[in-house]
Amino acid sequence: MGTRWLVWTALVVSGMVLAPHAWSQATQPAEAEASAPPGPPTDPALRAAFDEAGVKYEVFRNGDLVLKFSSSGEQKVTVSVYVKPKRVRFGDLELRTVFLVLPFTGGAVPESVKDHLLLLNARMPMGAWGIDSVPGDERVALLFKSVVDADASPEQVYRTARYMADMAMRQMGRIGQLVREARGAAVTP
Amino acid sequence: MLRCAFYKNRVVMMAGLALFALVSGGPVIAQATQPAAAPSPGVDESLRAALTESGASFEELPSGDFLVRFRQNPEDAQGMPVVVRSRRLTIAGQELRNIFVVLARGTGGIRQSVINQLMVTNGSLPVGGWGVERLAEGRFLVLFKVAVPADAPPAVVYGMAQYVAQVAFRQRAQIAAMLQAEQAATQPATDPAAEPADEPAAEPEE
Repeated sequence: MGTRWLVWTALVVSGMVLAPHAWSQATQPAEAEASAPPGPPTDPALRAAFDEAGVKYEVFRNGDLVLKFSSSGEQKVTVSVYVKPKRVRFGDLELRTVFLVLPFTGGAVPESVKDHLLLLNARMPMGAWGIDSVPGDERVALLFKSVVDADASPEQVYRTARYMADMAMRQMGRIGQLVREARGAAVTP
Repeated sequence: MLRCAFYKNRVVMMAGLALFALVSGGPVIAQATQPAAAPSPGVDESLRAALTESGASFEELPSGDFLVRFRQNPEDAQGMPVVVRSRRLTIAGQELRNIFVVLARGTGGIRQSVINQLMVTNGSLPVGGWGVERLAEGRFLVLFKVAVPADAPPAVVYGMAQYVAQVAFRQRAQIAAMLQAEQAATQPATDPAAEPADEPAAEPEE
């Protein structure tokens, strides 16, 4: 496994919400690894704030904080949302990236899925779907990424992560359907 | 010259993002470029004050939004028109406003290589994302959008608008280069001095 593709257990799909064989082990996006800070593994202030607020999290090996959210219902889906320790600076504004990853296997992301996600991007006030890919590597992942003020309260960070997880869970069925249709069409004369 | 390579449908008279981004100017923005959101109820005066304080040169649009035009160089008359929305949205407990630019608009389908590039770009950008807004009668907009805190300081609002323009300039150049390469790859090896094939020439949209 390439060094840029770190195995994680972010996405657990039980049942058949997504297309069979469409998803595999979750994968840390290249961007995340590339921006991992060389200094402290994570932001101690954010961890302290989470601890104080009672927010449950895990620390990924690169220092990202991981918040997990599960759907209700029979087909339980768990989504991990990553909070980057690194601050991104825009003038006077300091931001923190919050993202989740839906790994993709079995070929390229169907065009219909890309079309669908670009339409969503235009309609969503916050966050955007993208594709993380590594040249020469067949594996790709769908990313859903947003930012939050670097000094936002832990509650604010949590709510942003929750929002993103909800949005992703809401799209999984549709994405799975599009994948099934695309792959079905691919084998139909 | 770029021709209609950007589209599957040759009926669409646009030359690819590189050209028609140049013409997605004020009037276009003023008409119907709001991504799926309802029209703004009015002008956010605090935003007007923030833009004024930032020193930006801006126009007020009929929608109540503001347009800030960025130029790559003095010869770039049209520039990149960035819209800062007056409307505030509360998402996940954050009060936000959107800043966006429409890089292209057209009718019909968008070339899949462009779609793919937009999605891959989204995967690597620190902030914001490209999207496609579908309108009536097959029309579409390609736009780049970010969200900023609604009460962000003037320098942040201006800085983020500038970032939006920079991303759009860069994307425009990348797509233009990609389309040219694609076209070159599909051109039959003929006398370079020969006239182009019978494809209709691209017409920048007015």
